[in-house]
Amino acid sequence: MNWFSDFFLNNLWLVPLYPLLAFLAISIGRAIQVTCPKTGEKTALLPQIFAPILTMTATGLGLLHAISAIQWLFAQPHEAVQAVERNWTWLSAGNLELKIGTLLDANSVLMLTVVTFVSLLIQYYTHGYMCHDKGYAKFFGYLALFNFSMLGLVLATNLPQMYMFWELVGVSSYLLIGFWFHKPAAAAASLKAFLVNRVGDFGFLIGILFLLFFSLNWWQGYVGLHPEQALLSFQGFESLAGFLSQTLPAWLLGTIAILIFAGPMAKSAQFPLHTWLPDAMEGPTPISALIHAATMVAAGVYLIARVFPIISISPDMAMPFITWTGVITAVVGAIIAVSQTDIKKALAYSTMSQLGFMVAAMGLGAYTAGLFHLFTHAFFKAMLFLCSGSVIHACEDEQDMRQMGGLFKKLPITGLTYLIGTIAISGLFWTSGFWSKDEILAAALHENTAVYAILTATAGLTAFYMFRTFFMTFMGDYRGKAHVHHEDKVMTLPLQILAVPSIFIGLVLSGFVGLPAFGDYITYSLQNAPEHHPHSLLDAMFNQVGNISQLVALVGVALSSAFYYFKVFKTDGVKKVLAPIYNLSQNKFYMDDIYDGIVEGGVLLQSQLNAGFDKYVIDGLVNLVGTVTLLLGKLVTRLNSGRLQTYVATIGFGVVGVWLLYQWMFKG
Amino acid sequence: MMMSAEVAEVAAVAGLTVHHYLGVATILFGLGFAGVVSSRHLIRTLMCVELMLNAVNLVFVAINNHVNPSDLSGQVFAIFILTISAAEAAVGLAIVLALFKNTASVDVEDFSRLKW
Repeated sequence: MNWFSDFFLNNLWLVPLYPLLAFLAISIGRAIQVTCPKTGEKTALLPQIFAPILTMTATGLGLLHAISAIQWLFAQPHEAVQAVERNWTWLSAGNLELKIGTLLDANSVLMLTVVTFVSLLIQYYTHGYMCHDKGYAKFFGYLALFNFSMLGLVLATNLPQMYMFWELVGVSSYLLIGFWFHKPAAAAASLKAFLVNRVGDFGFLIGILFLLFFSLNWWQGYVGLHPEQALLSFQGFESLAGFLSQTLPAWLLGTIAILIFAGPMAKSAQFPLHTWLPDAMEGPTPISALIHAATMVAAGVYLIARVFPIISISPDMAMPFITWTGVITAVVGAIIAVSQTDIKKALAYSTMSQLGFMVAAMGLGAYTAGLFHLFTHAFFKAMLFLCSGSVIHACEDEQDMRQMGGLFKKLPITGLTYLIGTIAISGLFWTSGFWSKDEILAAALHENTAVYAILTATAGLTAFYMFRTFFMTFMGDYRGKAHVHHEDKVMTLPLQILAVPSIFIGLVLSGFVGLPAFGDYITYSLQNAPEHHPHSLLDAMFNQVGNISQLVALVGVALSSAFYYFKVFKTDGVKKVLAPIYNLSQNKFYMDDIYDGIVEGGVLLQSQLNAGFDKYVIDGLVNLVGTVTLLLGKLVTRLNSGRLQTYVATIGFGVVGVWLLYQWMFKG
Repeated sequence: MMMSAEVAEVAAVAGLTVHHYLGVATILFGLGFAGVVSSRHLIRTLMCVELMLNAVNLVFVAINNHVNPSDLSGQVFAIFILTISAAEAAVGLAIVLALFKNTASVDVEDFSRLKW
């Protein structure tokens, strides 16, 4: 390694700093108005074109750091990766000292690579997608803010730091969903995303506080032994898990783990806190691709990986809870996706379903599989969203797939990359989705047959609804009215680049092509971890689990093409036969209605009750005091007659009365 | 003018004790009080107030002679009260005059407007 990569490696703290500086420069540059000395016109201090340059430079520098980090990682033997933790004091109060820093290990290298790589491509794409938008520069500012938050989260050394950046990505997400805030739907969606995330983050915060409460003394001892590590450092979690499992009862461990899991539940759109994700599609499409498909929503899975030691010591409570949450999410997302007509909503439910796969894998203890799926999913899902953006852009902001069709001829590159993404997410033909989903299914088969069966069926459903979107959008005849433009080169380049990892990354990291396998570096040894070690490339490509999943996916594709391409079957008949499920799917499992009901029937009713209590009881008491005083006063004013004699007599007899009372009390 | 000690001597010869003086003062005060309470004529009310003040003066002088005849503080206080009662009477009569000018009445019952 030369000094150049040494610099990148030793100064990881710069990685979140670049985008932060870009964000500040863009924001301040936009805000300050200067008058041109020659023409006298008022313009922003920073010309618009600098916004993408600054943002992309910041991300590009981050990518250089990521590349040197990969070199650093692969230079070490995978059995003994020495994680590097650097900390600076964030705030200290007495004995409690919270740190902020950078943690360099296999997990952070993985996420750093994904985030910077996908971000860079999407920022380039944004230049094409948003070029006619008034908020062009502001959009890049927000993108930089998001990158700052996300990279800070990825590099976090400890749980409090992660929590802070966790909230920051939430803020960026809120700002970007509501980017077109003049649209009521977008404003409502951003608010919904923020509120739903509050629910999860509240649980997450309580979980962190519980964890700190039960282990503060232990941590202070631990940090004394490892001065380079911070309080609640992820590196110390394995030792902490050992301590906690001896000192705390199982139910408390499970509760803490589930409380922490509430954070990922909201951020990674797990049932029943998923409802914000489809609505978040109101944001510009690059945001849907970057934040709500590839990176931020995956942060939940990343967090589970980081706190995995704490979760793994509750194998009877937290882990089944996580598994079944993931499984339900996968199934519900897939079923809803089938009936969606909005291309972005269909992809959003697909994201939700895939996140369910990852979370279920984590719950099963298949640490490697879950993160592998996160990794591959980031590429092909970002690509699919960018394709949908390209389609929407070409169709003049039309998102309804019923108004599309036959777009393959007009948009060949978009169509082809969309097809690749569809194949990858369906796990067909040994594209990247096959490898990661296969590992999840293998782990499920090892752990729990019911989970395996459900997830395999869901994989078939995935193929069905993804090919449905493909056929409806790109095949058949054009049904819309809008004039279809040609695709933009700025927008197709990122698609072509993302298609490469979407096809090959699974094979490349399978461990049979000369490079180290994904699981070599990113792994967590659990005592009864699911075993899935193929012996050769052929074994990895043709094993029982993989064959079955490919077969199921092919059935899905066949059905999908029968319905939507060859039109052998009429969808109307099937809708009638499967009416209960179709209605559930069409109405998104009534989750929004249930929440509305809870809010209207519960929260609003409660608030009305409270308002009534306040109005009649609290205010009544206050008014009662006033009224009583007033009445007593009226009673006493009668004494003020204005007659001199009465006053004098009162004084006289009063004095005598006091004297008599004195006599009676003290002399008698 | 007789010294106060001589007064006490004369009184003692006449068989008068401090109780007699206090008795007279009490009766005077009671009469004045009864007059203030019952009278409806403003001038009479003022005169009754003077009666009460004089009862108080009598008490001061009598008690002074009884307790410490060589000291004259009681008498001095009585002089003060006389002065103040003169001033009070002047102010009081002026008020009565002003009221009479405005209302053509000196009946207390007519002046009960100062109330809530």
